[in-house]
Order: sequence, then C-alpha cells, then structure tokens
Amino acid sequence: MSAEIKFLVVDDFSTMRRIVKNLLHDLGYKNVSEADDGNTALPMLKTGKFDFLITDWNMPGMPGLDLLKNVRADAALAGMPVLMLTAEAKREQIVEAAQAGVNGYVIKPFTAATLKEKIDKILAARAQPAA
Amino acid sequence: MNATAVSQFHARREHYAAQLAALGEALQRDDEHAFHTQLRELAADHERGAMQDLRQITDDLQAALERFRLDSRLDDLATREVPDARARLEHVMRLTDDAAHTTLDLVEQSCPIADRAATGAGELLEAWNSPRRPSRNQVRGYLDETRAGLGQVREKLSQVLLAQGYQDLSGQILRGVMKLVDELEVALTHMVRISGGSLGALAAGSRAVSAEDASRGFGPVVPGVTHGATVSGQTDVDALLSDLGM
Repeated sequence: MSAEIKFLVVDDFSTMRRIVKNLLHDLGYKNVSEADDGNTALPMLKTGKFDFLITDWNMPGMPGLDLLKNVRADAALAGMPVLMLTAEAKREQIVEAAQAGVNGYVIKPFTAATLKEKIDKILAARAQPAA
Repeated sequence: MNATAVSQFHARREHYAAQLAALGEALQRDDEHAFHTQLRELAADHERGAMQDLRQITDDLQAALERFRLDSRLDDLATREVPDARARLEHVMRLTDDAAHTTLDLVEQSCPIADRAATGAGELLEAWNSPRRPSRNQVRGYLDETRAGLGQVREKLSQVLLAQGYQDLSGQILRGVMKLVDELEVALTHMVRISGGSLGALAAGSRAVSAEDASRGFGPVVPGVTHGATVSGQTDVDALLSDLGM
C-alpha cells in the first residue's frame, strides 16, 4: 500500500522539489506531484488526490505554516499527514508548527535517512489504531 | 550677506559706535595722532570681522559641498548601483539554479546506469551460484554493457565537476555586491550624522519583527546575523518535539 501513497511536495525552489522527488523515488514512492507555494498547493490538495503533504515553510505567496493551518482547518483535509521540510530553525517556530498540527519537522540541510525515518514514523503512527 | 554675518554686525554695533564716537572726538579736538590711532583700530576690527565672516562662509560652503557630494553619491547608488546589484543577485540565482539543475540532470541520468550494472551483477552472481552457470556470452554481454555504462557515468561525473564552476563566478559577483553594501552603509551613516539623526533609533526601528514576518519565516540561520534561540540540527529538533510530546 505504502508505495501507492500520493505525495505532494511544496517548495518554491524547483531544485529542492527535484531532490525530494528523487529521494522519494529511491524510497519506492513513485507517485509524487509538485507545487511551488501554498496558493498552488491548496487547490491541488482539495481535489482529494493526495495522501501525504511535504512542505517548505518560507515561500512567496502562501507560506508553509499558513498552508498547514489551512489544511487543518479543512474538514476533508484535516487528517492529512504533513511533514515540514524547512530551513526555519527558530525554536519558537518549531513550537508554532507543532501547535498548528504538523506531524513531522525536518530541518534543512537534511539526509535521505532522516527523510525516510520521519516518513516511516508518520506512516507507522497512522497505521496504529488511535489510542 | 548671510545670516551669520548680519548677526555679527549686530553684535559689534555698540563697539563700532564707541569707536566712531572716539574718532569724531579726536577730529573735533584736532588730535591727529589720536584720530589715526582710532582709524587704524577701526580698520583692523573691520578686517577681523570680515575675515571671520569669510571663514564662516568657507565652512558653510565646504559643508554644502560635502552634502552635495554625498547627495550625488547616494543618488548614484540608489538609481544605478542598487538596481545593478539586484540584477547581479538575480544572475547569481540563475547561475546556482542552472548548476543545480545540470547536476540533478546528470545524477538522474547516471542512477539508472548504476542500477542496471548492479542488477546485472546480482543476476549474474545468482546464476553463477546455480547449477547452470551463465554462459560466456552472458558474461561478455554484461561486461560490455557495464564498461560502456561506467564510461558514461565517468563522463557525467566530469560534467558534475565542471558544473560546480558557478561557485567561482557567483562568489565574485557576491563579493562585488558586498562592497556596494559596505559603501551604502558608510553613505547612510554619514547622512544620518550630518542630518543630526540618531543611529540608535534607526537600528531600533529596523529590528521590529511583525507577525507577518514570523508567519512567512526567517530563512536559513546565518551565523552572526540570526538572533534568538535556534536549533543546531535535526537532533535538536527531535528533542524539542519530544519535549512537546510528539
């Protein structure tokens, strides 16, 4: 099932989108789409075609934190796993993202192993019945 | 005559009046010696005052020239060099973007070749360990394909190497922009000083961070520039999230 997961990767830099897409491919996830900021990503998410969101924070247009808040505020999307993949390193920001309901936070620069570990952890938590 | 010269005349009016009275008195007394002495004093005083006025005018002129020089330099910076710097930074963005995409292209082209070599070697090894060993043709076919593939990978790695040349170009452009920022800083500091403003107030104003900024993000940590508590890496992030119960 997990190889079928549909990812949406949101980052304003096309090189970073390509890097993440390549890493996801290496992890066996072939179904990866891209968006360059929250304004582009949100309508794509609302089509209901995606299972997992990986987003940068600092983007022109709608930043990642606002995208996360919008996702959590939308009844149809509220349960979607969201991994923040960002260079934002202030402690208060990480706390804010956690309070907004992020499922994982990977700081740039990152390794393939870290990305895999966080995705696996989020998917494992999803697979477990709610406590 | 400027305002300073006029006010100096007013300040010295009583002194001139006293000197003229003494001069008139000497004339009436028909005291030639006293008259000439008074006249010389009056002329010397007047000359001193004129010199003072001239010095003041020279100082004012020098300050005006300095302001004019600064104004025209700032004008030049604002109208020509700052837009130039923006274009240079945009060029750096393009250079880094192109280099990254070139590298990604080459890596994406190399990965399937490496995958094919690894898969072929695995299949060959598996066949080698089975009762029916691979034929000479199978081994030769694999070796031929792998040699050609590794040649391609080697060529692509050389291109990856060359693609890093952007660092030299972008470094030189960034250094030029840094020089401009230095000059802009000096000019602005000078301007604030001659306009009698306070640099402290200026700095305090620029430090204010709006909620909008915070929501948008601050970008990567820059050593010596980023303020406030930051995490040093993924281990720190994990520890913080763990403390928050995640």
